[in-house]
Amino acid sequence: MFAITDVKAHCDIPCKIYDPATALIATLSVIRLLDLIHELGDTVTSAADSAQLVRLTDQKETHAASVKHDITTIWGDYFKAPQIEAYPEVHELVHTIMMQASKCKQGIARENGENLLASVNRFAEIFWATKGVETEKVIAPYPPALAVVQPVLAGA
Amino acid sequence: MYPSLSSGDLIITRRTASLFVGDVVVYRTETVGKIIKRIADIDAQTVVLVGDNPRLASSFCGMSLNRSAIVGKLLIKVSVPFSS
Repeated sequence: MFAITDVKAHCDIPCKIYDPATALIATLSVIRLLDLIHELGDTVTSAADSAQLVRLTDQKETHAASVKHDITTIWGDYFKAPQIEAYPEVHELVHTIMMQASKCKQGIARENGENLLASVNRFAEIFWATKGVETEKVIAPYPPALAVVQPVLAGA
Repeated sequence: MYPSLSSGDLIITRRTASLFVGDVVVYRTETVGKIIKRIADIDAQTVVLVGDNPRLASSFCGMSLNRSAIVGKLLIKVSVPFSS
């Protein structure tokens, strides 16, 4: 006559905490790792330098993958029709970020990392604009000391 | 859906076409099964759902969904003591 079944209140993540800061930090990490790879020079002969190159490359892969993951999570889970209508460029921008992150994984040109940072900064600007939060560009206080977009925060 | 609903609550729903903004409904999804949310907007074909708990977010909320996937509308809620 009737059945009792479970229904879920379903949530993806707790607390609505979406923030492109993690993607920006990962992007800065990619650029820093590119710099460190270049500092090793074109000829790596010692076992120690070889081990270091492998480690740096591995970390570059990891952080570039983090950029992709963090951006697509915000794009897929946070951006809905109202945000997309306000910023229709976001789809192309996210696709560009995916390709730029792949380039960072494939090569060692610093320019690839800088292009990725420009796109992730633009994504951060759009994200905060959809929430009505003012942003500013500041210089990260650690290498590679490049400009990143962050929300203008209220004092505690 | 807290504070309206808590984990372990028993609910009775009814299939009905009489649905309005503010109604709590069970919605059938293809990916996570049946979910329960409140109607934020509705027309003849689509519905927009929202959760009651402002601390949590669902990817099913805030977007236009197919109205035909609504399973039923909440009629009665029974809170079971010590169930959660």
